[in-house]
Amino acid sequence: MYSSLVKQRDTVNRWMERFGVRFGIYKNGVFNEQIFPFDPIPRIISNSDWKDLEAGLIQRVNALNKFLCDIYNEKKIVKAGIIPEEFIYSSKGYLAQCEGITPPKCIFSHISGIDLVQSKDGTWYVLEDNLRIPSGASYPMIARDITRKVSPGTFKENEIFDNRNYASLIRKAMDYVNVDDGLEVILTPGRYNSAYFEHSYLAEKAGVLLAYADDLIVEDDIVYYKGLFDKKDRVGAIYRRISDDYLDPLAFEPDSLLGVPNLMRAYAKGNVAIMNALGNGAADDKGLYYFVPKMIEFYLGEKAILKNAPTYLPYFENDKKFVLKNLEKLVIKDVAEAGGYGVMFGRDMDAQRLADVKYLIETEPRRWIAQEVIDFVDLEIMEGEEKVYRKSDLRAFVVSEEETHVWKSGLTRYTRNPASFVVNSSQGGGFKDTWIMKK
Amino acid sequence: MIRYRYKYKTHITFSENIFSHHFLLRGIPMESESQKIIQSECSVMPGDQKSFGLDTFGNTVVSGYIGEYHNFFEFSSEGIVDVYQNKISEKLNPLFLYSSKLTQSMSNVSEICSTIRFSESQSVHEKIFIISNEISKALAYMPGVTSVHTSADDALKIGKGVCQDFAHVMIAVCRNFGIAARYVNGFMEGEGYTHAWIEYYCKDAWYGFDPTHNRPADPGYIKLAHGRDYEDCALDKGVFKGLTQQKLEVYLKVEQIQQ
Repeated sequence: MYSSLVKQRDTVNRWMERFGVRFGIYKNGVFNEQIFPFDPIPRIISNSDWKDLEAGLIQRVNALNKFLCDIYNEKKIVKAGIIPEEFIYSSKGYLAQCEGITPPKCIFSHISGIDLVQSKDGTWYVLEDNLRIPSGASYPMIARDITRKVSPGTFKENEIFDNRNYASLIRKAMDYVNVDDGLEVILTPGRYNSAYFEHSYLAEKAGVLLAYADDLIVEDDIVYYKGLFDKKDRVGAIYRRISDDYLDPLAFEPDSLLGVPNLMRAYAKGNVAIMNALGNGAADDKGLYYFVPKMIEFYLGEKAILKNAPTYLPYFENDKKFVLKNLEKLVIKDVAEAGGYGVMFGRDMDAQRLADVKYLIETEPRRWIAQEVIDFVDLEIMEGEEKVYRKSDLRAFVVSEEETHVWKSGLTRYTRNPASFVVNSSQGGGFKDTWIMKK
Repeated sequence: MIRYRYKYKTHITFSENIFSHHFLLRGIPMESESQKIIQSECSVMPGDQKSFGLDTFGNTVVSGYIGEYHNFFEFSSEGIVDVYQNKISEKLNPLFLYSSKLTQSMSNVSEICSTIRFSESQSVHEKIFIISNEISKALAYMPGVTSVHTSADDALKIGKGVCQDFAHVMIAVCRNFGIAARYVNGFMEGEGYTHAWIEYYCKDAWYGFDPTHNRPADPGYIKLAHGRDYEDCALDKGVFKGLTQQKLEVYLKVEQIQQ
């Protein structure tokens, strides 16, 4: 079904190189851009499997949006005793500056990237919610574009959902929250960002402006795009690819040169929509992840369709006891880290390291979560002329506007190191196309 | 009740022209149970283009943008306030129980906390005096050794600081003992500079306390803004383009007026 793609894999990769499909990484302070290798064998998700996934993802993102709206306003979930207040106020992603601010149309997470793995028995588990600036959608977009050109027959023979609508989903989400029919822009930190390729590609495909911090000014608490000859156009929606800390030097990190001064004032007054909203980090914190199934029950009155990986919070006394006793079998994660950093496998630690980690867990219980290691499914990849099996995950993209949509595609990443369980583009590795089947 | 007239002016001279200047100011007294604003005016130069808003803590903020070249910036705020008792009844926002960037409890804060002993029968008000006494021993007032970025822990390490540092240390220690505390920026009676102190929470109300002078913030204090620490309350912030030296002059006068 995909043999012609395997034959033409070099052609596909050459095209990608030509289009500049790259991934930037900072290592030891030096910026390097590298090719993000593409594997020609797609991950295939059957229609019935997809339907469950889709329903689960929509439910999860809807609950997370309600949670964000709640914790920056009434905090009903804290008052109900479901989430300890400490988890909100001491979360690194919680922004006190956002208290009481309701973003346009009450959407906080417009674009969510939910990372999943499939276990060997076929069950999907959510590993992580990314509600700040999930990146990576451009890779499957462009990969599909190229593979369709290189092997049109493959897409005639197989009934695969078209995935070329991602940019229009984003555009619809921007239109929906746009304030006063203003301009729509993607705000990029610039070309030294690991996802710069994606920023420019999405701007082009969605038909919106690619803006740098310098292009935007805030006057009378309204955001303007400064065009040629100092012509000023009102901005109604900003899809920003700059993290909260750097977004407004007058409200957050004062040394930021990437941000737009006083953007927070315009946002607080409801004069501009910012996608994703500020302060979303309070919901995708690894510590809060534990509570997502409870959020679904609390806000939607439903049972969670998608499972979390079995997780323990050392913050709770019983969980701590269990974690300390079973450390060898668990994976320990630092709640403040991302990108595959701060992940430790108990089975890889020697006695000294185990003792050190136990000490850390005892002294800073709020900082860690522990999860059972899921034996997730291996996918075939081509290594030279040989088929080998590697660990992989799936980032599903969920777009929230009037309704919540799951993009019928996703980013399947795999590790190149056969011994590694950490699948993250920052840690090396490649990606595949993800085929969602119509039947 | 005491009636005060205040007059505040900050003037920045730039050695070269600057442009694309965004500013964010908090220099207007805050209305509360303990403070009523009778009259308040403010202006910004050049241009006097400004908009008013409230930040998340209820502080009035004045923001604006000056696009054209200019070589000075001036902000003035003046008016009349009536100051009542040192007590603001309010529901507690639990946020003020948790440490913030500049008030994190690290080794030096823990150390000073370990020297403090309370007895069970002591009220929060009594505890505040004990804490403040201890801080007076650990910190000496000295301008010029700390900056606006100095944390409570660093100030304790240096052993010296200004009102901002006294306030940060006090807040860090209070929060460590489970007493909610917040940073306050404002004016003090007399001529000179702006001042910083704290408010602590007891039962259903906030009370002002001035750790720099080791006494309750009453009377003679006009409150402008409160927040978790200095960063939430900064009186004037700005960013601009241009390569320049800056000279800052501050004028402040607060005096009682007879009715």
